[in-house]
Amino acid sequence: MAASVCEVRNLTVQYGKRVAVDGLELDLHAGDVTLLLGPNGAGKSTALSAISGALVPTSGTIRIAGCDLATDPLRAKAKLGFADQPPALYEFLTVVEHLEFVAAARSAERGEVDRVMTRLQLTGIAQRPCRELSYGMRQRVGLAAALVGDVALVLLDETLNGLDPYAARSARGAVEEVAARGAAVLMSTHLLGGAERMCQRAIIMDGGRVVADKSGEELATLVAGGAGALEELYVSVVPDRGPT
Amino acid sequence: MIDAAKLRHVQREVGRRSGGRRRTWLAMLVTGAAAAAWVATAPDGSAASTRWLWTAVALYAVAMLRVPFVLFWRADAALLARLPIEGRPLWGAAQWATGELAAQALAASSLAALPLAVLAGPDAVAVLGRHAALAVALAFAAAALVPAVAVAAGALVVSGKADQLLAGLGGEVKAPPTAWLGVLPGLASAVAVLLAIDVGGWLRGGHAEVGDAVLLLAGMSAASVVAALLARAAADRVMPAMLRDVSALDRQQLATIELTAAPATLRALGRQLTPGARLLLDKHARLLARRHPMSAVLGAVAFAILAVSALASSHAAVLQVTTLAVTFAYAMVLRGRMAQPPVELPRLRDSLPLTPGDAQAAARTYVLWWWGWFALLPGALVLARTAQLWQVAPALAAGTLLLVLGGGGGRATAR
Repeated sequence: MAASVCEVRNLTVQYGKRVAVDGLELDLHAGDVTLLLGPNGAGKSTALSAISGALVPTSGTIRIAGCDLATDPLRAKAKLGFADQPPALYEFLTVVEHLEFVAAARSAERGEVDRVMTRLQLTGIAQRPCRELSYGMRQRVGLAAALVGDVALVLLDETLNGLDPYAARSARGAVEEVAARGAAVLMSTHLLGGAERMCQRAIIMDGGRVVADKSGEELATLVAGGAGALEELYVSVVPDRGPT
Repeated sequence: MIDAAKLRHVQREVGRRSGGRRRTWLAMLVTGAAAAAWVATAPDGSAASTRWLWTAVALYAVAMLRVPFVLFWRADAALLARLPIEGRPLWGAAQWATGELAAQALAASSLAALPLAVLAGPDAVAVLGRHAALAVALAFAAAALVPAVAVAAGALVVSGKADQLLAGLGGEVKAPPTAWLGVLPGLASAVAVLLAIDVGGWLRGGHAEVGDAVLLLAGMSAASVVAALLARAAADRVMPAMLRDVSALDRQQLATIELTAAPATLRALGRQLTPGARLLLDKHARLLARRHPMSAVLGAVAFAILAVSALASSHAAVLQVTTLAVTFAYAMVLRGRMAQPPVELPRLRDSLPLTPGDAQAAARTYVLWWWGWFALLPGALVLARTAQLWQVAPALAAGTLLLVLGGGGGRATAR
């Protein structure tokens, strides 16, 4: 098994009396793409925010590439790319200026910006201000910002939503590529169709807890069962109780 | 690696391209020129100096109240919080930005001071020197002291002591710990402004107070520099943590999570309204303090100025009426905000069986409740102690009457 890039232990996030994430235990390995699934309000975005350091958990520890996020946040964040929803962009900078800023923060080389822009087909809009971008283009710039530099962990919060088929294919390719370079990817999505073909692991959360965790042969068998197999698994472990 | 110069460059570019920087400079210079015209038409030098003092107080108060927004409540907080950027460069870039705020106020107040040279005649140099000393001391406070207090407030939040203090206050005080990032700098601004007003007599040539005034202004400037140096040491830990908390509050805890129910006094007022208006009032109570934290900060500053001036002097009518006027102006702004998205979500409201009258009644009640706490309550203390009742009472009564009779807050509903 590949080395663990991210170790989450007993992660709990509470908003007042409401427990959004309840004792999450997670190990993410180099080269793996892990899908994080679950109904609205299951705690996926909160878990991703906490793992990214954007939110202080109520309790628990998070280690990224060996660095404790609470005590050594700078080194941990240097190894982390996070595309959240909606992506945080400098509205009055151009796409290339925004990505250069992110690259500089991660001490990445200038060539890294060219690489991700080419990979995600952003070169045509490189000189456009971020404020003029459509929803899908903003998603792609957010993904590019998460992938730029020598990141060991990539967190994507519904980043593939709103992309046209070509852009979605290009984005999936970029995610597989960063995983092939040795990064661990944790990606929340509701679009199971394309995502199930690229993942090595699928985790389903409900009520702030992990209710299913499939990987390896078990997942391969499931996915080989045909399109919609992951959706069947989801339906079997998450009761349809409407919004909570 | 991002350093302060790189951050500063990005901030300047964003300000230049958005036009915000140019507009702010222009607005300050136009204000300075208008104030100069007001000062020039004063009947004598003493009145001119008083008019300049109020202008300077207003200009620097605005600059100081903008400090938390430059440091923490900034548009790029979410992005900066996610990147591996140390606190020192964040503080360094913020110092440039607060320095620019102070420079804008200094430029405008200098422009407003020009007529004093003409009115003072042979004493022009001495008169301008005294006014310049006050303006520079206030500039130091805006550029260094208030930002340092904001960082100290951040340290309070990071250490968790803010939570304990809020818990200790109990009662109706329900706010996220990050509210301290606005409240403490607001109080520091109020102290700086009150000290500036205190040396008003010296500005007009009161010789007996020369030593005290010079000491006060020199002390304020020196304290500002020392505070900024101390804050620099704490900034490494505080700045990234505060940007994270502020952006987390905006993105993660918005509306659906960190909701606080209407306090008892507002609920009591709400019981006098129609069910539709009560529903909207409840929504205002849940969202407005969160969406417009400045309402609490400005209200607290107004409360402090009115209460302290009432206790300190029975002849502070000009300050008290000015404070009431500014508070009233903000109350009107607050009422206007209630009609704007995303707070009101007019389309949603239009699809519900709520009348424009309900919206107006809810907005009026909320603003009157706010006015009651921050103007009427300290205003009662002012009325009890002032010797200038005929100046303060009409201002308080007129403000209250206008808020009771005024419309607004429901325009977006009427299609």
